[in-house]
Amino acid sequence: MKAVEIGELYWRYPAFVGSENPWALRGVDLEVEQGEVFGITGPSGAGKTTLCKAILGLIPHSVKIPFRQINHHVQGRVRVLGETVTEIDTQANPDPQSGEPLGVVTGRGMMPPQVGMVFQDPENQFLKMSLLHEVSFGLQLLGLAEDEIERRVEEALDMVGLGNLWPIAEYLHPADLSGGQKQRVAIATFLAMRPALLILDEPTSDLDPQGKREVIATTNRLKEMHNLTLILVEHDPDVLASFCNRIALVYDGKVELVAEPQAFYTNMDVLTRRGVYTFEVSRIAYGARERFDSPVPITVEQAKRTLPRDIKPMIAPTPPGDTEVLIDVEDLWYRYDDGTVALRGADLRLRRGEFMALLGNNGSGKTTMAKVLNGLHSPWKGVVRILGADITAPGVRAQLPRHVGYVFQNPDHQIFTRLVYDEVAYGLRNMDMKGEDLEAAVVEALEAVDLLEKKDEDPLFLGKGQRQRLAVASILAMKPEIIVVDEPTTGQDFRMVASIIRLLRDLHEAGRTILIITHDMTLVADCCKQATVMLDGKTFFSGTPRELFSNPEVIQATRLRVPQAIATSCAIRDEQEDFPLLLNVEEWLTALAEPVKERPRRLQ
Amino acid sequence: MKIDSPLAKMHIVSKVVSILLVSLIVVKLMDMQRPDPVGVVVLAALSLFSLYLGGVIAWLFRSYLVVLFPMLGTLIVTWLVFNPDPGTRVFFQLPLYAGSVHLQLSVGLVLFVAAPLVYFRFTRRIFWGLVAGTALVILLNRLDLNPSLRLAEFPLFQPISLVISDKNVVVAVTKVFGYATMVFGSLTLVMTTRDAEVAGTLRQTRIPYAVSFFASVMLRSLSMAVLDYGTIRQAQVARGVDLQDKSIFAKLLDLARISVPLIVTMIRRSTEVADAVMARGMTSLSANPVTFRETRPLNTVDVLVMLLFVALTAVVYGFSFNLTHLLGIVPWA
Repeated sequence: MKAVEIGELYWRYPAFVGSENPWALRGVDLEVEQGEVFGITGPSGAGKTTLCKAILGLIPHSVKIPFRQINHHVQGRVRVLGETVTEIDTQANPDPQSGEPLGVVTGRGMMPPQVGMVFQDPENQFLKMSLLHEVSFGLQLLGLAEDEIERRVEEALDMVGLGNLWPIAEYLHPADLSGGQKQRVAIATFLAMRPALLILDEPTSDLDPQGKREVIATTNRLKEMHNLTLILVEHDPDVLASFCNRIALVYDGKVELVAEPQAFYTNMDVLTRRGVYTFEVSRIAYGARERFDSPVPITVEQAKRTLPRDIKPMIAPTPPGDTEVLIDVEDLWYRYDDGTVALRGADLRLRRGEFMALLGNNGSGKTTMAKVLNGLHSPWKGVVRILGADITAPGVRAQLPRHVGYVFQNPDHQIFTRLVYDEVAYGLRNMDMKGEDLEAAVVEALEAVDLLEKKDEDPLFLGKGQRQRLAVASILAMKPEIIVVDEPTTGQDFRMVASIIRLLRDLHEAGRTILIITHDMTLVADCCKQATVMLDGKTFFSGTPRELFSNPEVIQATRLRVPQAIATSCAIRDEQEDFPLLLNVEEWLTALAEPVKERPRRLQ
Repeated sequence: MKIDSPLAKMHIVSKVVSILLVSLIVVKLMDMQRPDPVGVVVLAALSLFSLYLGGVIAWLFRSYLVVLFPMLGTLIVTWLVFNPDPGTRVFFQLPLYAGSVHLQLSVGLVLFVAAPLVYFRFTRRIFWGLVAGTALVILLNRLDLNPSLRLAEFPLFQPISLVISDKNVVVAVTKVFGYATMVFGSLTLVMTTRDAEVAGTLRQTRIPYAVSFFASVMLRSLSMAVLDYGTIRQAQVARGVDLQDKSIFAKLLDLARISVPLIVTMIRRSTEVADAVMARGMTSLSANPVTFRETRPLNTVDVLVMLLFVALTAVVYGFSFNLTHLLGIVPWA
């Protein structure tokens, strides 16, 4: 028996005003075996979540379809664990006047507890005010006895590594949990119900790389123990290839490719065309495919064996000269009102024109540090000088937004007006700018992010990428000396990340000083010239990304993920000392593009 | 709150009943003709002690006190100003208002209006204009250089004097400690009751599950909204909203602007919440899940505490119990 069988599934979201929506799913055919870990990937808006909701039965059974328009909105069938979840009888229910069949939705719809789905944002799934009742809610709905509920809740918390919270679970509010704990609790709520099929829709998007792997590994372990079928929606090829038996590419409402990880990720023509995240080593091999004909690698080990090594030693780029110090932080401490000490003697130095990454795992103090720099938090102890001024001096902190711009992670949290133009002008008006100066600054900022054409539109109706760019423009317009960008690539697809990288690079080339908070090590390797790593509220490392990623002690202590490009260079250098330390895909492709004899000596 | 504190273990019903009864007692003890200052001071001390028993976090308690003491200070001043009861002995008296309103034009009035208008015209601000206008009026009055033309005079309200007497001081102190008792009691209730208990109590009172579930989700949404508000407010500060001094209207407008991202975020969240509810198996409003550690029975301590306060209320109302008189203290002759 198959865990999931989908045949010719079409789905269109109802539009109650305006023009008709396009098909979100267009004839999906898919089969998932029982006990399989099945990955789904694809760009944002491709239909991944819609497909998962169709498997769950939320679609179409919980969506109000306009009267007499069944056939116009849904077609096909979905069977899960041998039961028909959805089947559309397109020939049934003839129109009394025209006789034309209007269609009928049949099937049993949602199948709790056999099928569960963990959504992307755990915060939005919490319905109760205590950890205990959050996990027990599904079991209470099943009508289980109290001792059985208690046993299952304790077991589920143990399974996701939160067994230590069991004694206080009744008193723990969801807001008291860290990001990683919330994700685990969201998974535990369904594990307690012992589903046969669990769908995980980007369940780890807010976690650091280590946390992400831990959560997926935990779920995978459970799958081994209970013969669970898992469907995992994810962008990260590393996670998908590590845990999935097969992976499907969803693009424009269709399943375009289903294959085992090695075959899937070596199909670079399709994946590149569809803008899907691929492995760095695969991109290197694909980019240099004219020079070698080995199979496309997906791991560092494969890349080490197959990538050409005839690259001459190169001279390292000269570090930029010392410029003015814009941010100087010494022994900074910060304590939240509830007593949590987030910073414990952190240091940071940022010079004009630098592009620095602020790294560290969840809870290491990165965001707290950035908020101190922007004046949102006041230091508890230590010295913070911005442009030479001590921010604890009277009146200095309140003026920091003029000098340090802060782009928040979620663009929806920073849209205050109903016109794109007004949104960019909002900060300027707060700075008392008026008239032609204001208009010129708005136009310049909108041009920089390529949104000038949208200036008369409502920002709430822009796409997420455009809203993100608008958030950057709103800060850019205020012309701060330093721009802090918080997690700009979290939860974004490959094309969006590429667009953000281009924007940040352009800003840096235009002379902006940028401090970026991120878990995305590829972004660090691609863009940043400096990196500062925080660990437990202290600064653990400061240097260039090349120094960081080639330092095994720092990597081990901070549990950062080394990007494949430089990891491959390091692995080759273990065997061939004169091999250059190539940092990212771009450096690899540049090095491989030039014949050995003519290649200049550039990187060491 | 400490989860093992005595008050955290009490049933919400017994806490609510006790606080209502204490408030009722306080109302009786604040009687103007026969106030019981000693009684309310004892109750205020007990309510503070109950906060301590609740295991309230120190910084949170301190932050409430920062608001509370100025509020009680204002209350005592307001009481003294608007209740000029001479009692049997007046310590201090100052006329504040003669009991009639004069409509008149004066040089001082013209300057008082003109100064802020001129200041606003050039600076778009008003505060220092008002200060200058007031200073000019005081100066002109002092120098007797404020000729005026009286147009009309009519009585309004009654003359007001600040009178500090033995009686109104005792009554004011009783009122302040009485209201403090109510505030501390209510804080104790809020700080020792988890929102989960509220939802549980709704189930215990046999209200349909759909209602208690709705209340539970609403409380949960409120806590999310508070977090979102914090982030959005920070994003607003990052956009320079506090860079300049602004009028109260501009500040209100800034506050109103927060509603745009807050509502958008809440709407986006609500659709996911609905999906999450159904994914967990609650596919109809008639669902009635079994209870699990949400409700708890009234135990002996709960019943005893309620009985104690019922008895105290009966004594205070039935026998006009007054601790001050019982101790032989006579506030005024």
